[in-house]
Amino acid sequence: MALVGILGKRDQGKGEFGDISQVPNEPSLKRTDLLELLDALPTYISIISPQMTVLWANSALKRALEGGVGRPCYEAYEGESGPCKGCLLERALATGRTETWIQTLRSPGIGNVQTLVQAVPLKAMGFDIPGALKVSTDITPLTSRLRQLEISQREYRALFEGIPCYISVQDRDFRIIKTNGLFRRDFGRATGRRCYEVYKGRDIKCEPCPVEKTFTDGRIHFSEETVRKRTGEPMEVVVYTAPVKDQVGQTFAVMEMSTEITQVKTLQRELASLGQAVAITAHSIKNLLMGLEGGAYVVKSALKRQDPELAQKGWEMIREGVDLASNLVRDILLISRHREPEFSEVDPSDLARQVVKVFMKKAEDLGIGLDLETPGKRTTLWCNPKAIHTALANLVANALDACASGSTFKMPRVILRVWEVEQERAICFQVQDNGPGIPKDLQEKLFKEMVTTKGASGTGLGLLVTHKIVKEHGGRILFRASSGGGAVFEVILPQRP
Amino acid sequence: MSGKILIVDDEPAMLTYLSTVLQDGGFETICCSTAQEAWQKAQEERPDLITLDLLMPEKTGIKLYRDLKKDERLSRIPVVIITGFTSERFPSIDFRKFIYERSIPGPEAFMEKPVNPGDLMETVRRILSGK
Repeated sequence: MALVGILGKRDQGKGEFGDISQVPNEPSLKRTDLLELLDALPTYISIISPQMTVLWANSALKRALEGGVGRPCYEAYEGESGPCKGCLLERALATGRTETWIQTLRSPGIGNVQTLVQAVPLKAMGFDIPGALKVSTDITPLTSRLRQLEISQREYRALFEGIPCYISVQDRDFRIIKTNGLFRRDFGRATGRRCYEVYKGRDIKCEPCPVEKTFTDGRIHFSEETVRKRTGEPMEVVVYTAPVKDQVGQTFAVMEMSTEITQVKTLQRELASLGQAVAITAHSIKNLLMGLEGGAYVVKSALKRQDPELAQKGWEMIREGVDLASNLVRDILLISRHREPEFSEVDPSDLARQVVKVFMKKAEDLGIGLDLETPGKRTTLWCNPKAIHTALANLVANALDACASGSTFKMPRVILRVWEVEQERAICFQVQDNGPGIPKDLQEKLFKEMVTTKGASGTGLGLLVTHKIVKEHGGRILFRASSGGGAVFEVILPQRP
Repeated sequence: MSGKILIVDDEPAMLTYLSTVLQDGGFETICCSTAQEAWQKAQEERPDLITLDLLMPEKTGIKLYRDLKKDERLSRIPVVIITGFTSERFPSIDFRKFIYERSIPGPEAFMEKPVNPGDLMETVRRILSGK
């Protein structure tokens, strides 16, 4: 049937076709031209009767369906033998409103074509005839692109989820927006919680914070952190933070990627320990030899002079050299051997009390006041008590030695203080003395190299050992000069590392 | 050879050792364990030579050295620096540089512990004989 015939009634109407042809100064466009245009359009157009028969099809559709006019819509378009379930064209005719859906057009010649269909009841267009205009646009390129997008999204998700490091995306409040699979496995479901809570069980953000830096300057930052898995197991990680920017280049989130480096760090520490041990051994052996050779010389000379007092002094030198040798060996073993930490919960005040007790006699002999200040209430510390005892003992021993060697104008005094640092959930042990203090040039090296102010009687290992123990507990050690002269050392340990 | 040698070291063992070696070599010795005491003794006793440890409490050996070399009456006394500082132990600090300030002459000798008795005697004799 010719289109002009079907739409014949529209000839008397006041449709747009008539209006267009009357636009002044425009080339006149006849109705037949428009119909030809419709026929020539590269979309698939048909007119469907209320009985679902294809009454007319444009050339593109006829080519695709290899005919089709006069056949049922479902058969012509989809090769189906019966009407489609919930047919939307039927609904368009019933409601008089345009319906839109996606249909796979099955063409014998070109195969399946994904189409976006719009069915407009002819009545809605002002034609007083039943039936609907069905316009189908080929959206195959679009759907294939969508499919590609879907695939790449799936791949990205698989990559994000499966990557063997911890990834989280955080907002400006350090709230976690998104996490990957490994993160969820080791830190649990963290979305909505704050980074520092999840990683470290803290109430306040860490200082410095690489995420904050990235928010501030939009650049990549990194840091090394000790975090704790949900099982409580500590882990050393290297953290990289990168900005996530919107279309205008504003950072609206930060991606944090953490890689476990516990093993690397352990190896690094072992190598460093080995290096330190070698260096310490070389230095300390010099001091040791000085004591032994010097002592031997003095004893020999004293025997020649028949001077028992001098012989005694020489003998003391030899004895000190032997002591130094045994201390040296003990310290090297402490620093170079990896010990499995034996953790238990203790009252830090009890620990401090034991240390003071050990040194009380020495302090009295030296005429030095040794005092203990502890908090009134009981508190707890999860630590390796033997190791912390060694660390505190080293600091107290140093303080006593400093007072013994130092000033004469004031009452020498060493104080060991213990208190709770509530905002950090930490315990602080402070050892203060009013000795001569530590020369400026040595202060910077305190925990890095073997430093001693005790000449041949010190190996300089004590502080290194102390530092190692504190680090093993996830704590920190600070030094400052005391306002009244002397030195102040503070060991700050998390109550649960 | 004889003479009076002032030994400055904060370690009693070192004082005993150095004085024994020097006494055996025929020298009279005066021992001081602090820089203050040494400064006083140097003025009172006018020794022929001073052995000096660099790192001591209160006033460091470096400061004492500078004071000695700036003092008109004492600057001529030769000084042998004997110290536990070594370049390996404190790689970032050049202690010789500390002392070899432009305005101050350098010490007559610089010895690192452990000090061998023979080396010490040889050094002291060489300095005192003016060779």
